[in-house]
Amino acid sequence: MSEVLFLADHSAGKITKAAGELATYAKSIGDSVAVVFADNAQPIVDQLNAFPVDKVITIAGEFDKYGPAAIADGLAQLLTDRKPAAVLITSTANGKEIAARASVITGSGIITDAVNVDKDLITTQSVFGGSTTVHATVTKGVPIITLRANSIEATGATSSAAVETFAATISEAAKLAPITSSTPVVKGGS
Amino acid sequence: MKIAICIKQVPDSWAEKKMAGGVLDRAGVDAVLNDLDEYAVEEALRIVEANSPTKEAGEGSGHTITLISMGPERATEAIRKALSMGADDAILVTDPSLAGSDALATSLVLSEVIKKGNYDLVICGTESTDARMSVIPAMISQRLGWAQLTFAGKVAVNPAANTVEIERVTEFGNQVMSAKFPAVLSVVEKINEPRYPSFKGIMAAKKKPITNMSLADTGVGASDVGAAAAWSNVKDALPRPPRGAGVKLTDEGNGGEKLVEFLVEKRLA
Repeated sequence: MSEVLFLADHSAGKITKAAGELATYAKSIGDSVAVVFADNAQPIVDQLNAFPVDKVITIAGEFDKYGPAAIADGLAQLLTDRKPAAVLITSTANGKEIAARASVITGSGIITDAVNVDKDLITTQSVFGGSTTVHATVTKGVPIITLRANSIEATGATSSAAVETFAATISEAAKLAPITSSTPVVKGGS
Repeated sequence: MKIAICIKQVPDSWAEKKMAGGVLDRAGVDAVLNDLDEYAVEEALRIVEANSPTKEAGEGSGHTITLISMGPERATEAIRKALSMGADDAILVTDPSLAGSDALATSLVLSEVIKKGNYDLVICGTESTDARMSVIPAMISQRLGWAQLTFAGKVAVNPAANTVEIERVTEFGNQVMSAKFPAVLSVVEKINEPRYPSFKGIMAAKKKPITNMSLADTGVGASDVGAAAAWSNVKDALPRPPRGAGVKLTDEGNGGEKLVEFLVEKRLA
């Protein structure tokens, strides 16, 4: 079966809810392969095993320091190396920028803000405030698809994903705007 | 400093938008300057005003603000709006072969125009209110190999040191990032309150130069743009089916619980 990569977002050592959703989408298309950018990936891998994940590829490096531009570099190198059927990313500010840059680097088509992707990689987007539903496909390169969070119920699983490491380099251009300080988001309630 | 601002003319947010042949029908609706681009124009003006001996943008400030847009000739209306706010001049790339271009083609054309201008900063809104992809600033940064300082909620420019620092505002919190010129910025809507064009500004805008460029002038080949070159394909675009009847929940003392159950079922909680 062909591999479907997904970018497993994590913050402060915890995977996001959307990571499980992407795993669920990936598994519905092919082999579900999580991509984790972290120096200490094992806690992330353990959490991903609660979802349908066949394999985890970990990439270590200065990705926290250089942000989306650097992650896009790493992801693009991985896409060129593995040639997966598609790569799924959460539709966040970071996710869409990573998708955008990886799309330019690898010469791949991009679809953003999908609310579904089926086994034939046909995406569904809800546009103009929900007044129009668009079905589309990527026709060039590795389809890079960003999916909105909460568009699917994540399927629970007891996975024991094989873990591989991938070595990626960060280009000089992606190092031009280092992050000098970070403040995590403060959420009210819950 | 030389500042460029990427702006787009979009259908009025309040207008009913329709699709025609897989692309947005732009002819049939009112067109306006993309709301989110006004924040980019305002921020550029504030940067120049803060670093101008006259405390004003324009001639005598020692800095220039150039608008760059790709679109039909009609886009001059949106350009005039941004000029009336205080930008100095504009470049409009108009070419029949650009119709149906995707974000990759659009970012390619904008990047080639930017390359010719020797700019220090390129400022964009975070997204257009029609396509809403928010990928163009990142694509331009990647294509130019310039620093990417996007989703800025605060911008601090130091023209003497040729540096710019921003506070990036995203779902994952805030980050301070800094870089040397040249850099590509995008600004979020809470960064400032865009000014209304003054009467003087509106009159002055009528005389400000708009340079028209064809695709050939940009150096981009016709085979790299337009609907045929798009790297994604719209299979169909369907209007929303009429709404079905809603669900009525009767409160029998457990209305709150029922409401929560409903929201959870719809994945809205």
